[in-house]
Amino acid sequence: MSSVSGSVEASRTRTGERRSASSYVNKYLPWILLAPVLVHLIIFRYVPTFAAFFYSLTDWDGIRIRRFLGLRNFEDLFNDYVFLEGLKNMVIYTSLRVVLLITFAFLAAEFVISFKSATVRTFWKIVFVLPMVVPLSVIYLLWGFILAPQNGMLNSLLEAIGLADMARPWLGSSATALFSIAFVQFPFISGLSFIVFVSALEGIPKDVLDACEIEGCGRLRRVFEVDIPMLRGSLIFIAVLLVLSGIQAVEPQLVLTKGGPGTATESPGWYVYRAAFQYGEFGLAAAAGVVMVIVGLVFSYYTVRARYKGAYDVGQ
Amino acid sequence: MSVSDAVGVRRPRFPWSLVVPTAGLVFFAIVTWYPFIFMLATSLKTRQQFFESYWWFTFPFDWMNYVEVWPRVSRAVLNSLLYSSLTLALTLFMSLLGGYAFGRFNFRGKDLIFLAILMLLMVPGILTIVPLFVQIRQFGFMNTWAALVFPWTGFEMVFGIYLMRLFFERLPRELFHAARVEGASEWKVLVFVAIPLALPGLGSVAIIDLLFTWNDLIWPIVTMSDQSNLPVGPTALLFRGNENVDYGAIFAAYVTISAPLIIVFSLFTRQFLRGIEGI
Repeated sequence: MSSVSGSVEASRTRTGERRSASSYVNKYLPWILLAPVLVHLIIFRYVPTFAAFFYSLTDWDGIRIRRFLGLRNFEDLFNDYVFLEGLKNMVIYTSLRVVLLITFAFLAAEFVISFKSATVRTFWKIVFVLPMVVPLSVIYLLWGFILAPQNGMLNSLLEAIGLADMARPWLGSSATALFSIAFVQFPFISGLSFIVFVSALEGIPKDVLDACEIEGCGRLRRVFEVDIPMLRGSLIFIAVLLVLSGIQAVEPQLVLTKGGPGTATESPGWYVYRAAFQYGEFGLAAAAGVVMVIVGLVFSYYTVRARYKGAYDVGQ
Repeated sequence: MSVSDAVGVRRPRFPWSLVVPTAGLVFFAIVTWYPFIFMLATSLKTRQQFFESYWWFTFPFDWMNYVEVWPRVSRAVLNSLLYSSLTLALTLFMSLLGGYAFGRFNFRGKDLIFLAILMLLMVPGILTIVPLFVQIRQFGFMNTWAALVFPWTGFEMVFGIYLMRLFFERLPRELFHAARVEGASEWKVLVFVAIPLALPGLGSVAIIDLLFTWNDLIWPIVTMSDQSNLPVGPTALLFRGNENVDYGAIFAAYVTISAPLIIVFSLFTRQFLRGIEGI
């Protein structure tokens, strides 16, 4: 009986079992509901995913497979100076983004929950959440203007406060380009991380805070001894999201730097884009995509594992 | 001499615990918002006004920038509205079906299939962009709405199904049971009980979906070779500056492109906030 599918409660009441049209529908109902979902996912997600792994082993121009190459594409990738520079930049960029975004969003969240009044909290949440809806491309273009050498806001500001000799073409010099794109969106608060942290901080049980207060812990001690351990789950969740998006980054290159100057801001995502859509090397692009997935899986595995190592997860 | 001094009550300490957070948040808010305010101010300036007063609004406002860019931008806004609303409808439909199937029923292979769907969260867009591009070209979808709507839905519904499953599992089973005992068919239960109850969950899915489709950059660039079919994100890239450009017109284009979603979310701020917190 247990193998008969159908709704949980319906199968309990149907012990008398009559073979009516409705019980027939019941048995297959979940599958009828899932059919369009599964068909769509197979066509637009699973097939391309497996195809990517297959094509990474071939010399493919997007129309026909010229040759089967085995692992040659991967060999070529790791002999390609540009791809290796991209990987190096990716590590720097991703680490910077993870640290900066989490620090600022967490700081802002701590500030917000310092207020007792729900209205004040809601006000600040709205202030920082609303800019999320500005399209990403507009944000990058704005930052392109902020960092522009001529008429750019940053250089104009430096001039206005008498530091004109610090002004420079931020995106145009190899020394500053990578750090400049990592600083896009400063102070990094309008995003999912801020609102996740605020929700998590508001969810800390009252008695934990009371206990903390009785122990006489001040505001700073509360942050380090209550909030951060209690938020471990949320922090790891956000860290994984940021690591994965940092590894895939292609928008800064597309909008701001084109990977330059030289190879200063190359990234694997930008490499995939160019290999496929500028040079028609679809097999090589697929291989670069596979490398990125493996890097992403390894990184997120270690990030998630950090959660369980010596953790005392409370209520996460 | 005040009463508290007379009684020897300690003077209230300087309220660091309120001043520091307020100062911090005000600083963050200014830095976050100023670029957008600058964008708005500049979009209302003539070339001359831009060089006369750089940092703030100038009067009178010059609306000609908007008149100038409107023909080029309006098409993109309409495109985006079309692509995003189609994707939204399809994503909500699929998330509802999948979430309901997993959240309410037990059937053979349920855990395995759910795990297989969740695994897709680990498959990034950059891996599939190349094979998906070729596939879409074979289907003849290039330069049509279908090139965006179907792949976007494929991405967005995974998280939607996950969220809706959790949502349906949290609803008390008695609700569905009662309707069944009353003699409602399973389809009626789905339409008249499950869907109305699911609205808050669908709201969260809708927000994530809208933010994603409105922001996506690389996929429309790859699939839409005809510029008049581009959605807003990539269209913004057609307006960019070097030294001798009309900044007013560029920023007017950016403002116009950002406006629709800002208006929508300003009207539903509370729901938006609740939806995001529900993620």
